[in-house]
Amino acid sequence: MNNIIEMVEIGRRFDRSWVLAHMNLTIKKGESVALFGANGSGKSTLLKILATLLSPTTGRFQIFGKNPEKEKSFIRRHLRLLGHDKQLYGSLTPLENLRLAARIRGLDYNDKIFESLLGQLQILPFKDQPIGELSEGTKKKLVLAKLLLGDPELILMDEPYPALDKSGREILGHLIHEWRHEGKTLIIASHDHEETIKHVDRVLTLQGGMISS
Amino acid sequence: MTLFFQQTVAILSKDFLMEYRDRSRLLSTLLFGLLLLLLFSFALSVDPALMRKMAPGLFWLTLFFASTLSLEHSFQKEREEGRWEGLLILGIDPRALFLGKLLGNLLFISLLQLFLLPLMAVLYDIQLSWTLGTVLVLGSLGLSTLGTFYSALTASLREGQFLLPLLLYPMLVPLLLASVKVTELVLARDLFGQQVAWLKLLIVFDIIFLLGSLLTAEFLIDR
Ligand SMILES: Nc1ncnc2c1ncn2[C@@H]1O[C@H](COP(=O)(O)OP(=O)(O)OP(=O)(O)O)[C@@H](O)[C@H]1O
Ligand SMILES: [Mg+2]
Repeated sequence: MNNIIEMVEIGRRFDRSWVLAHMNLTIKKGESVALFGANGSGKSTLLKILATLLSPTTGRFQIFGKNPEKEKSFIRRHLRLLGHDKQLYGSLTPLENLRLAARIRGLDYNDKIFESLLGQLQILPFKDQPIGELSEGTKKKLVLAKLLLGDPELILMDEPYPALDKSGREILGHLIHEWRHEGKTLIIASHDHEETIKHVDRVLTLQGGMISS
Repeated sequence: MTLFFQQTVAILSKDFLMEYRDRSRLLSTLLFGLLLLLLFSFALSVDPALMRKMAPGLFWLTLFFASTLSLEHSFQKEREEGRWEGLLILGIDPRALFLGKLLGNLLFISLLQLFLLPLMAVLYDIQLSWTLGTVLVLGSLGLSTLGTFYSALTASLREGQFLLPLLLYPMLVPLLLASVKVTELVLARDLFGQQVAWLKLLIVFDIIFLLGSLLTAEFLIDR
């Protein structure tokens, strides 16, 4: 099984308007792909469909060779999504947020591992401070640390760059480099074409509900 | 199965920690319950015999009204910042999420009861007993199950928080009737053993609500 994602004639409608229509997409295992497109072109919608958070209105698709209607939990266990929303709890600390995520994922990690993850993102000094008191960039780095939990095969990133400073971008670049080296599949939706292009094998552009490469 | 319980406990302890850090909600609900009880007792204070008679109904009404706020908040707080999706994508079992929230609400309502009971005992001159305790637990289990169910349902709707009481209160009627009736019987030292039938009814309500919401949890929580 070489294709990690196969989408055929996918369409998604919100109310009356079609955001995706007759979209076909194939991504091979280990590929790193950029997803470009204007505001509202459907990048986030596509990523959410891939993450099984939204169902397509029409068409069929497979991830990891599985049908998302039937094997949602398998698919979710093997992918991670960095979304527009940070999915963090403001009154909990970075350490507590990571602990919660790991326990829900079923990972038996101890605090040493969490601390090393926070260290990797250079936010260890903030580990015991409530998230609500942290800067946007620090929170974003915590979101990146969450991506490192477990061993996902497919990593979906929706706008990873905003809020990151220069060192943050370097850290992310380093992570992406490692992931590619480990043979993970990446999809990066971004408006920061220059930065993204450094890290991908090919570029997909969403326009008029379809993909052109 | 162990992952299921691990997830349930993770949600429960996370909510516990969050509510503890942000105690104002807890305190204001307790105070609201206290005020309701006092207001009811002022309104009826003309006649102590009447007060004793009304005590079970007033107690349960106070509990229902006072817990609405925190029940609504239970799933609403997951709506912010994409947390709900964040939990799903981590692979949470919707039933584990539901159960975690349910246990949290049950804990909260029990706390509210513990807080109100002594006051009830003084104001309305009632006697505490184990049977009364059982009734309270069964009644609040039903209340938290239904409340958690509607909290999950309305959290995904815009303006959902206004809908919650509208949906919740009518469904609570049978539960309210049964709880008030058994409480009355227990307090009146139930000479003819009628309370068993009402207790059974209460248990049946609880089981139906619990099974019903666990069966629909996936549909309710995962889109
Ligand atoms: N839940 C929703 N309900 C209704 N319409 C929606 C919903 N989600 C997205 N849309 C619509 O779908 C279209 C595509 O949105 P999407 O967020 O996928 O775009 P995007 O390419 O990610 O844009 P951006 O670059 O701004 O992030 C938009 O017109 C948006 O209004
Ligand atoms: Mg987007």
